[in-house]
Amino acid sequence: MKKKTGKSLKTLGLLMLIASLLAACSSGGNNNAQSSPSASPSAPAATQTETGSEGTVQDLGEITLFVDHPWWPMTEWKGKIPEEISKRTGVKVNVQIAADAQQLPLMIASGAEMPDIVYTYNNHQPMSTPDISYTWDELIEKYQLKDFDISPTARAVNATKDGSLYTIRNGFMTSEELVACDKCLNPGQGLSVRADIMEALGNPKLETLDDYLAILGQVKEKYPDLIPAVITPGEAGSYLRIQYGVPRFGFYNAGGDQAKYYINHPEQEAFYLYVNKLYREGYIVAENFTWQERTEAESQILNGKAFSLINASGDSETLNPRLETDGKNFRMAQVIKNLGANPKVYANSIGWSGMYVPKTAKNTEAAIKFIQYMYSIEGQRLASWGIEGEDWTMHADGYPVFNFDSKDQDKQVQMGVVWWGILADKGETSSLQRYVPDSASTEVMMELKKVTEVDSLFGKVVPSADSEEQVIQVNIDNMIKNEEMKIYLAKSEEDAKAAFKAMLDKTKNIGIERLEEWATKEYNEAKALMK
Amino acid sequence: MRKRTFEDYSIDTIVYALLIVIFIVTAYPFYYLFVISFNNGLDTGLGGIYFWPRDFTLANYEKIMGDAKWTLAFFVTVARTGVGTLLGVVFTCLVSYGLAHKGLVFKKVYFSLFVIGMYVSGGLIPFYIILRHLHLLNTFWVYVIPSMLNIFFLFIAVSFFREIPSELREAATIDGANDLKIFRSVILPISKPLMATMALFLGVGQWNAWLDSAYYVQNENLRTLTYRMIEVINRGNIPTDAVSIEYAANAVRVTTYSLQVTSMVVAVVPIMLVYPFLQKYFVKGAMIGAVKG
Repeated sequence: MKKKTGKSLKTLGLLMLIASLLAACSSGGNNNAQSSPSASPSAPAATQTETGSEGTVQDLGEITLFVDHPWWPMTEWKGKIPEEISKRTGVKVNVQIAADAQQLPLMIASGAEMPDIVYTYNNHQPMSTPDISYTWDELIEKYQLKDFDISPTARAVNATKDGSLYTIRNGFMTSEELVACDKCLNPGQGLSVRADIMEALGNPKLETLDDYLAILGQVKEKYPDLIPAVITPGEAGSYLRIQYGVPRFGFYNAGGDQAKYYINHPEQEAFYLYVNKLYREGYIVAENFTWQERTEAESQILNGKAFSLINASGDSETLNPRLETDGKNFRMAQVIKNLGANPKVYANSIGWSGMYVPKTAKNTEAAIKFIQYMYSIEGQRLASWGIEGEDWTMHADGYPVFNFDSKDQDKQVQMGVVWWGILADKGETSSLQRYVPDSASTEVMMELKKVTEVDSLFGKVVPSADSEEQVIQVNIDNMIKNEEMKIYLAKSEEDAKAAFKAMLDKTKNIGIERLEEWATKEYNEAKALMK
Repeated sequence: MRKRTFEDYSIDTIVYALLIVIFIVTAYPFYYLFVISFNNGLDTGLGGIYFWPRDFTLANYEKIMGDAKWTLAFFVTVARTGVGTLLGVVFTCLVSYGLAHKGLVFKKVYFSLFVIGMYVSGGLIPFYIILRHLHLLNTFWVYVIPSMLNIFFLFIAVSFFREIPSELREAATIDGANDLKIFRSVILPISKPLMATMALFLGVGQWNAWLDSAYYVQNENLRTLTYRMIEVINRGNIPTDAVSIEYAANAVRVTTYSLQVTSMVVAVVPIMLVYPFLQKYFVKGAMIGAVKG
């Protein structure tokens, strides 16, 4: 009996030992610097190289950079340029890409230990609170950072209402800066067509949207196996709205400092009827509206199954090399001029994504110093353009001349260039990178720039999380996503008009007037503050 | 033996016809994935592929299998499936055996708690907070410990264990065995169908799980096959906001549909190969817990 009791006790003891090992492994795993990117970094002092000697960079350890964009093309801090950045900053970066749009909100809501830097667009509001993030000023003061210049304009557009600066969003230039920098170009939408078919049709005039419709008609008649037009998901609303001079999202100034929601622009109906006409005439296929993948439209072009592509301004330069590699005997030609009668690009944002340093960051010193470097002109140019003298040189006219194809996306990933430059881009660096003289994409972007209207104050008109205005805006956006399909796929122009009117009526029921009233008030308040 | 009538043949024909239709509807999507995974990505975009690849290539598999991340993910998935299944089966059997005991005090309380836990969930955020406090986040154990007790199988196992004649236990007790030895040497050997069924379902669940790898783990060395599959699919998806769409339009476009499908095949095939070997246990296990006369 004693023997049996002893054996049971030993078994129980063994089980408890295993259980305690499991618990130890889990906490040990967290501290395992080898396997865990969120591990506490080796204390900088332990690996510090010589300090004080000129040119020596202090080893600041590792940081984890969380990129809240599941589609981000670079998943690792790898390549010639990231290595050079690490060498110059003393910071090693572990990259985490979000699995989906819910991951960061989950981390925020659950109070989880967050990475050292969070780079996000969709979560500015929850990240911009003192409970979640440090302000840049706090960290600048704590680590006595010198030469971290933040312009008053950048501070004004990015600070919260209480004046705290949690981030500076990338890609923002004021209208004055944009005008002053004539070679600064914003990414644009564009239309490209099969050059061989245009030639076979006798190079008809393509200067207006009606010309485009006429050409599509000829293509449909003479090439029944071809889809006349394919549109990358999401881009119909971008390119064609620009041609009609209507905003694509958010609010706009309807005159007299009155803020209106984009759907209420008087020319929106014309845009919707045009897309509907494209569908009714058989120039686009119904499946186009179901595509979720960006590559689906492109693959129709690459396979020679489509005549024209509505997507980006640089499509011909991106697709033609691939067509050549695939042995295809046709090429794409970019349509340079705007086809609309009154095209307009509404540039109403105050930037896109920003880097935040969460309160739970383990290596705040390395994080803020990394941000400082990436925000500097040296850091921006290195990350966006490459190594000066090796990868690019500055032209006398003030734009970089590259020694490699800076638009080649495979090359970008291999070198680790361009995309990491977007992190802290002030607008000028990434926009100058797009300027390539005598290239079709540059000509298209220059044409778009001529019709760009900047009103960054609307970037401050953002409803607070869970506010009534936010709920109204989200409900309107979701409703539009569903209802606009009925307009696009309507069987006749009259049906399309009726569907459009029905959609507008629904926006009124949801509360668009209240939303616009609030937006007008916010816009005018922001205007007063900027003065 | 009764002679088969025309009615018998008619009913058999209808039954077989229905089964064939169901088989095609169920199996064809998997077959289609196989076919597409062996077809050139760009050619796939043309459509019109139904039964065999039009432009056969192994490039998709070379791209996936040549990536060390996928190899590591495979081993992590095998490890979590093995460990998770073993722990799940052992733990669930232990708990249910205890609950099956006639003289267990507060039995009704335990059952009520389990039933409530089965139907009511606190949601993702409270669960995340619990995992954080237990220091399970970003460790291998987050894959296996939270799923150690399967409540659905707990109830099935309780019914099963209750059906075991008490005389077996009494005989073992007379021979000097304690409860643990009785469980190990008498109960478990006759519970093989139960354990095999549990192992099958838990194993498939472990293999297919991706949410834990996405949300609870940041260490790239701990990612699973299904997470890698989601990653490949995400590369091609468009963002939902208009501004990000403009940036994404200039992002690398390397993820063809064929590549995504290949990642699905790589993630699903191993478990599909194992499943038939446990088929017989599934059939036996389906009757487990049923009231016996």
